[in-house]
Amino acid sequence: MRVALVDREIDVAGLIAEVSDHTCGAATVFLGCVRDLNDGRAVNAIEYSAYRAMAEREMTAIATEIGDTFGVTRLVIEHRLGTLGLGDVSVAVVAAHPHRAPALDANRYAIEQLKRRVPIWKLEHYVDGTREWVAATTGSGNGDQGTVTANDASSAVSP
Amino acid sequence: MAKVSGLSHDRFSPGLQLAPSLAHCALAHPSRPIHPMPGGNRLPPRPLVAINQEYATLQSELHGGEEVAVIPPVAGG
Repeated sequence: MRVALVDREIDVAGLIAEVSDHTCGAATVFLGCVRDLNDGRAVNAIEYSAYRAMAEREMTAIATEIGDTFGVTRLVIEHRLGTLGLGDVSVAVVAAHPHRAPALDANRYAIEQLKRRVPIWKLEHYVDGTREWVAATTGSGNGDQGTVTANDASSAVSP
Repeated sequence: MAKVSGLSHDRFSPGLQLAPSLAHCALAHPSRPIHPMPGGNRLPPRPLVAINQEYATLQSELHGGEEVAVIPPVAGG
């Protein structure tokens, strides 16, 4: 298990290699990327900043919870800071496990908790030259306001 | 004392008179020092706070020397 805030490009292939081994039948990857539109406004960059020490501490707590709840210890979470352009990967969660269900649950739990708890902020840069802090993330990323916790994460049938 | 732009934190200065808990500390009263400070107008009425890098409640005790942070709504990812 490893978590990190980084100031460089996230090496997704490297993260997959880091968590995978021959005992794992599944490796799941979540990537958060900078997109070109938010609330109808054209975005051309996002500037990420963090309360670093606490952010890493919270990320470590999330990873520990994932180990305790889903039994997934082959896990890496990296969040990039600094100014990122369109399409850049801002966060990566990679989990590996003998079976897919725990790996998928771990991935979902990690990103939902990260967005809710980890003190990271983003300042959006718009095409029109303005900038604005992004409001807190409360939804689960699919348009609803649902949240995912360790207690309600899905449990699919393992392979 | 603490910067409240949301992007910075600081330690209490040695001369600050500490209250026994955040509930009695100026940091916990939104109508008082936080919001007029730079960036303070972007904080919610009752922002999250952390003591020594852990989320805290207004009942959390302060003993002096703690690192207290005011946490604006987070938006990572």
